[in-house]
Amino acid sequence: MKGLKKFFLNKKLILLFGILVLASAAFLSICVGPSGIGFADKTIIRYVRLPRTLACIFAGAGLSVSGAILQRVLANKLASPGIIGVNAGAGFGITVGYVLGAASGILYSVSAFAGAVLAVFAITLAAYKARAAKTTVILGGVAVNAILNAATEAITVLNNDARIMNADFRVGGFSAVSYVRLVPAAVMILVALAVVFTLLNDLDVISMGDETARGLGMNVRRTKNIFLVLASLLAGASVSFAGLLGFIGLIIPHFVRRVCGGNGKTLITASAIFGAAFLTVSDLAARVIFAPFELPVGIIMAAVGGPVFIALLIHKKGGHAND
Amino acid sequence: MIELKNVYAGYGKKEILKKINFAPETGKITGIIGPNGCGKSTLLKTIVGLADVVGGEILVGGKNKEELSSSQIAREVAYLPQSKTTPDMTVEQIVLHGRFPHLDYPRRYKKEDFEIAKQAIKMMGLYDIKDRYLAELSGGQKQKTYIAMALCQSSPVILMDEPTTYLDIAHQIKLCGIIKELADMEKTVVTVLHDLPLAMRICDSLCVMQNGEIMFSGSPDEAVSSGVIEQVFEIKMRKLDGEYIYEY
Repeated sequence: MKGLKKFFLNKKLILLFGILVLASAAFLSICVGPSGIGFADKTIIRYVRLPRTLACIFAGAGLSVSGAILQRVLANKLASPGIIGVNAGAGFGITVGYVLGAASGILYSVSAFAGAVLAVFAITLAAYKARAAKTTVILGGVAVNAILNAATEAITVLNNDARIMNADFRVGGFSAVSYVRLVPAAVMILVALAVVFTLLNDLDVISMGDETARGLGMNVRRTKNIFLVLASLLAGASVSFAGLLGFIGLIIPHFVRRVCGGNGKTLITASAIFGAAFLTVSDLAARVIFAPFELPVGIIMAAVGGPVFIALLIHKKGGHAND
Repeated sequence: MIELKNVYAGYGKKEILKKINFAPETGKITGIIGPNGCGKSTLLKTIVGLADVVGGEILVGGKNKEELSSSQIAREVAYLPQSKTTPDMTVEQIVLHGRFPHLDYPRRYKKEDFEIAKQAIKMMGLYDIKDRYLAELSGGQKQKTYIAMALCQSSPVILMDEPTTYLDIAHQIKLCGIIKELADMEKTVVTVLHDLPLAMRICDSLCVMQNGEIMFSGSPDEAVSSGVIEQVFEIKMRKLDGEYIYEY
């Protein structure tokens, strides 16, 4: 029995399972829509369903990996781009960029990234200056989140053109996704993921604590800053086309650590796969459950992910260290 | 080889170490002892760059530390801090990260790194538990894992900050054996210790600190006979069957 359990908890099998779920969900996402099931209408597939499916994959992977990085670098399992204000920073950046004329393309993604970087460095600078405890960093992030959301609201109220912060954007959704917004952001996510995959050993060493990391020859502050920029890039680029999807960056890294263990290689690879799979499945559900009406995917994710997350926290048996 | 010449150091504007001259011998165990807050840990942190040097000169491997990168310092000096986290990794994964200072682009460990890690794991008697997560291990096994990581670093100098903390007496004795083995491997071992009889027993040389200054350097016998132990700790020690004990 124990051997059977060990077999099913094999990391490679779990990753393979994630890939299969992702591939199946992506296939269904391309097949299924309000206009019917199948591949008949190539225009709809090419310009509606395919970009939407790709958007789910990129945003799911980007936000989950961003959350995994933030949790490691800030040494706090509550850190996620949605909670500490990175997503809100991206939303603020997009709104400011929108007012200044960056309504789409690379400038749109760059303004999201700039806002995310602004948020993450505001938090870390304040934490560093105050030599803050782990919990204080999160509370500071919550404050930054509120400030940036309020600033975005103020701009939206004062400037009628900045209508980007609509309900779909706030909750997160893919109903209006297009190649124009997706492609530059996807390139940014791919580049950031490629860099993260070259720094997996650095991510492990960071988790040993600042003093041990320094003893191993790491320039800790510089390395952490690099990771924070990468996390901002992943979250900012994702928010630019997916809206403020807040939940995924928190729960997927938790889920991955629980079922696969958490060295850098496993954590990042599995977070990318399961994040993409979870978002694609959630988006499919958002389109299908109340068809022909469609829910913003953020609602589905919160409805499914919330209870799952609470269940994970309650049933700690079988988890790994530092959960 | 490390040498500190007239070093002043601390954290920010707070100066803790004053006029430190320190040169531990190769292949010997040097113990740093002193009351709480005297600067023992800061001395080790200063060597690896975790404290700010205000004045003086630190030589690492014969070169001025200021001219060396963090990785170059780590190739010469391994440092085991007192407080260590319990990362979500197996023994083997942690020990392998001892090769981190030797990593070069594309930042992947090579076959020889895995081989060196394997040797370090075997040397510390951790081979049977190499696939277990650190959180599943006892305090002694965790400490041995971190020492194996330091061994894997292949540095001639190993600094340990209170390595016996949280260990029961049986594990303390085992750890002392490991520290002696490191010195036998011609490593320069510098360790901060709180337990004076233990320090007297395992160290070849003692460095007694008080208020950020080194009050005495020499053998344990010389430390006791000079009266510096009594002066700094306000206790007396005497020898019984070749071992120092507290005199009540």
